Amino acid sequence: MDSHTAQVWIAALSTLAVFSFLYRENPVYRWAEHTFVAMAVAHGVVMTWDNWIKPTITKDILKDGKYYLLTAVVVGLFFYARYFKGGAWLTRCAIAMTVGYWGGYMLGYSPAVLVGQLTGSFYKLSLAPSGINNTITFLTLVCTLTYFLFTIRQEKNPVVAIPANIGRWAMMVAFGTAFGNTIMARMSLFLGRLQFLLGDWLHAIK
Amino acid sequence: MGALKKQLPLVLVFVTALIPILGRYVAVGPFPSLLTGTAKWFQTASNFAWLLGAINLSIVYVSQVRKKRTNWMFSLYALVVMWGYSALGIIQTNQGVAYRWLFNAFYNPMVATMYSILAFYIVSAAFRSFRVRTVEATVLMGCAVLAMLGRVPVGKIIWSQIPDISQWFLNVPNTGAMRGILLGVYLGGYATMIRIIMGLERAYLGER
Amino acid sequence: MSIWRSLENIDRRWIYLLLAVVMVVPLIKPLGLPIDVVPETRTVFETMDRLPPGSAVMVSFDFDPSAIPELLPMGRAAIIHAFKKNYRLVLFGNWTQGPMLAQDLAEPIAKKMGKEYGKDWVNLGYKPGGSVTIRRMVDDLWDGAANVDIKGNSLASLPIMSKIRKLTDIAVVFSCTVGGSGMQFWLEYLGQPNGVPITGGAVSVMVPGYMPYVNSGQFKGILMGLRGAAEYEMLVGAPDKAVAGMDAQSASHLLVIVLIILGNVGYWVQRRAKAAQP
Repeated sequence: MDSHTAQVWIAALSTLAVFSFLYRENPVYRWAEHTFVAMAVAHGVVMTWDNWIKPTITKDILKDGKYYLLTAVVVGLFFYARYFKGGAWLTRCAIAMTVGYWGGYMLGYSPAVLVGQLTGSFYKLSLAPSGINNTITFLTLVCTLTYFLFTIRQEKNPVVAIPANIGRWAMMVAFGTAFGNTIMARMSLFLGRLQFLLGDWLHAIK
Repeated sequence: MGALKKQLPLVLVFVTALIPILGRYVAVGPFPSLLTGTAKWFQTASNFAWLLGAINLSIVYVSQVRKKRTNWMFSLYALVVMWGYSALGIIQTNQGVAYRWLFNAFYNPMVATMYSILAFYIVSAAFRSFRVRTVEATVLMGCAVLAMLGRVPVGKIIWSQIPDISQWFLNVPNTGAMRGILLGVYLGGYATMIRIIMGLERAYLGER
Repeated sequence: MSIWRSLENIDRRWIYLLLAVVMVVPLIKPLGLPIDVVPETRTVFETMDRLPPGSAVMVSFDFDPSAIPELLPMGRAAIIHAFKKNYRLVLFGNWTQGPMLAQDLAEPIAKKMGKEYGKDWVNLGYKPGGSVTIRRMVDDLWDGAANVDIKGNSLASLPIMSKIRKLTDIAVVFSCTVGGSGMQFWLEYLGQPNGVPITGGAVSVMVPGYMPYVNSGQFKGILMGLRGAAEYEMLVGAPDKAVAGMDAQSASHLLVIVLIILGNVGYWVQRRAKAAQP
């Protein structure tokens, strides 16, 4: 048995080990579950080390002399301070800096996309055949937003109640479409495993 | 000292959030270069947290082994696999022959299969729980069925118009409704972030 | 009445077995039902197709093995498309596992199509840091990517990278998306601020939520799950697993619909019977 065949066989048995859970909880599944979790974490460690930590230390800091990055390394090490008595506040400082900076990025860049969504809503609105769908989309948007208008009591105000009701129906359509697509996504996942088992392993399909 | 430890994270979150916000919106003075100049530093600082997951998981597993909890042998096994596979990857690099072989033999099929189990659950749930009790549920089910038929070739064989109708529902009412929800999600996200920056929301620091 | 009650209380494992059988049969005996191409897929194809030869294209594998059935065929077709059009191909991944899958996928394709690593294509690997990393790569791709590819090679040693110094040197980003760090992410931090076209595909479950971006033109089309992958495979002229799986997908959807109908008929029959009882 060559290396590739052995790999396919192990992959097939690993697949069946996970599927065994469908029958009932069992030690083989538990083995697979622990292997999966352990390897997932390990893979994150390895990829970050290879693709970032190692080159940053060897090239940026040691070779190119960007010694200011050592201060970043120290702040990065603060994340581990919580494992030592009295060090939790240092971890909180590191978390605060990360959350602040990444959050600032979000507030800096994301609103432009939101504006694109708003302007896109007004694109080619008309009752002509070329624009009718845009108009319906726009009206559906307005109705959906009206549904979430909680400052006005909907039941007492037909100007709000009618569009809010249409908005509710529109959301049902959206959720139904989402459910149908979810079914497709889930079936695809199983399909992938079947293609592997029947194709790569058993050679029953091309 | 106690007050400093409590207040310092709140000051830090405010100051660090201002760097990208000012860098993005104030196109004059030192702000744009401050944004580009700090990115590498913050990248490096955050990426050095890369062992946190492995350490946290190790703490959990070591505790299971020490207390000889149910299935502690699996915890011991997971510890060996996690650190062994990490060591292998760091020695060999992620493109090492053995590392890639193990990735494709164990990890890859296990993750894929773990998620594929959902297919069975969703079929079972559709049979047992998807009940048409109200008009809203009927609309929801009708659209779901339409989406399911419209996305596969058999839909067109049943009725040639099904794919077009399904696509229309996806492109028009779905887009309008989803956009409405999306706007709420965006605004909610901004509100939460502003609360964090202002020090009003502190759950991320472990406070209630 | 008793039949419906028995059906409702049937052991779930029989349903599981039924699903497996229903999907296995069309895989072994495919019907080859025709697949039409929707405009959203055509837009993706045209966005990728209209670039001049030599353009730099990024295919970002923003997923893990759980999404392989839907997204790997898209990635494969995009790689073949880029090679066929003689683009410079840059592979990337916002998920740790994505670039590994990309490497396994691209190596044999490149070998078959006579493309050389480092000259015609490169895999930048996984670069942690999300939005900040992407923005850093917009200003200075080499520095933002820590100066190395997935294999640890210095980017300076790879000829393909000599003219790719910033993310804005990339003509199109094609993202295969399963979670937050995909098409939407690329749009926020590269597409919207810098005007780089963002295209690609997503798992079916994300498609309804992404339609507003397609409608506004912020995404240049979208490949919708396995069906989208199958359509793109056909347009590129490289049909493979996505096309082969569509019959099984049809069968599984029919089964779900039949089960929903059966479940509801049973529910209403029992409800009527209960109401009729004195």
